[in-house]
Amino acid sequence: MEIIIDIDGKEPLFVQLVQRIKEAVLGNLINPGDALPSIRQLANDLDINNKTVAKAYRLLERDSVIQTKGYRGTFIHPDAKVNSTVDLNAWVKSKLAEVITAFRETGVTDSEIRIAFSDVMNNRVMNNSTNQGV
Amino acid sequence: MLDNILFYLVFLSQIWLLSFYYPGKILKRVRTVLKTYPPSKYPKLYNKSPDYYELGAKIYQVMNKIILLVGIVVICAIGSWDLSSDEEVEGVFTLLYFMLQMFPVMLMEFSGYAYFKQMRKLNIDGTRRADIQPRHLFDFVSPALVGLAVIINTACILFVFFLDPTPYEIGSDVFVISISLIATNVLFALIIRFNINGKKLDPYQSSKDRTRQIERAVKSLIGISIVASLFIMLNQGMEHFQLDYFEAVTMSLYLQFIAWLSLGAMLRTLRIEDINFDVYKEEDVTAI
Repeated sequence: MEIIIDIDGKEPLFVQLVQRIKEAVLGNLINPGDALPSIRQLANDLDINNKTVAKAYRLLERDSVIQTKGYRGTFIHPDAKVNSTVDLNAWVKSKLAEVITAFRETGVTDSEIRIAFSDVMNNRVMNNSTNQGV
Repeated sequence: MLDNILFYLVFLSQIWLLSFYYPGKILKRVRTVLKTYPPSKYPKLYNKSPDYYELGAKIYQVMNKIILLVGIVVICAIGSWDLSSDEEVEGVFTLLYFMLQMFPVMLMEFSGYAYFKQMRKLNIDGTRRADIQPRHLFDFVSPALVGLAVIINTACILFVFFLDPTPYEIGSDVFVISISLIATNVLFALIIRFNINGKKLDPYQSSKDRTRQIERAVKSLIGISIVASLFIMLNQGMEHFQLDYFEAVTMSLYLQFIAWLSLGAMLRTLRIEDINFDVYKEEDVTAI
């Protein structure tokens, strides 16, 4: 089975890789327990950076579509088929949309929302930094 | 006398095999490709005009003819020296001549890397394909063959150890041979790893062709490792039992066998008819 990406495509390469692997799982082209190529092998075969493949594998592992078993390699997760249907980014967007709609209904302006969002993100970063300092 | 007659026969065989037979086969392959897969139909195969590759083939042919003539001159020179001397022909002559014979092959290998680099540069197609299956060593060679290589290499070191009168000294035969064997096998392991996991040199090559190429490279290198250890054991044994007047003969036979395992195996197993050239057409029809 082949994986095909387009380096001139609009979507980032790591996104394309994640999507192709999920499609392969959903299409029964690869099955739970099947081994995936190493990051180096896939990067060399596609002639792309190792970090791009590593990022794609990290996201797939986060979504429990694949699992890494140390030196034994990377394998398709036992629950990959179910987990491949979950789109974390779409979930984040839908949650944000709900919250933003609620804010707007109470009269909060878009710029106030943006400033508050930025402050919360920055505070979170600062809190993380402070905790690491402690 | 017998050993010298044997040497002439074996050395003539080396000259014929490596400066006539194999170069002839390689030239035939190049010319078959140029004729059967022209740039009008297979533009992706050609980084430059076909005349450039025809010129390269002619240069390769001339180099091999010159080296063949040098071999004839060498054998005549050895013959006339032999008539006036009681000494045996040293194996180093066959080795040096073999290195000369391999020069056009090495040149061809290096120009191959430049050719594929240019091919990747000219590849403007943004589509990239890769197999989703991992590749492991034992997908291309049996564990038994690898195990045999390990056993024979170990046996070689032990054999030399028992023959060496001073095995524990730094410059001893055991020390030198062990270091050489280990270094050679490490190099082979790195080459094998590059073949299995490294960059795809030909961006258009089909998966099937790449798999066959990797299998050929892996088996050749492991075969060479085994043969090299066997040769060392034979050589050391001959030296120990004072049969080293056959050294030149065994060296030449060993080098011919190495060539048969590497170059010869490639020519036998990676036939032009089996390669998928459709991937080099303007519109890829059967990319696999």
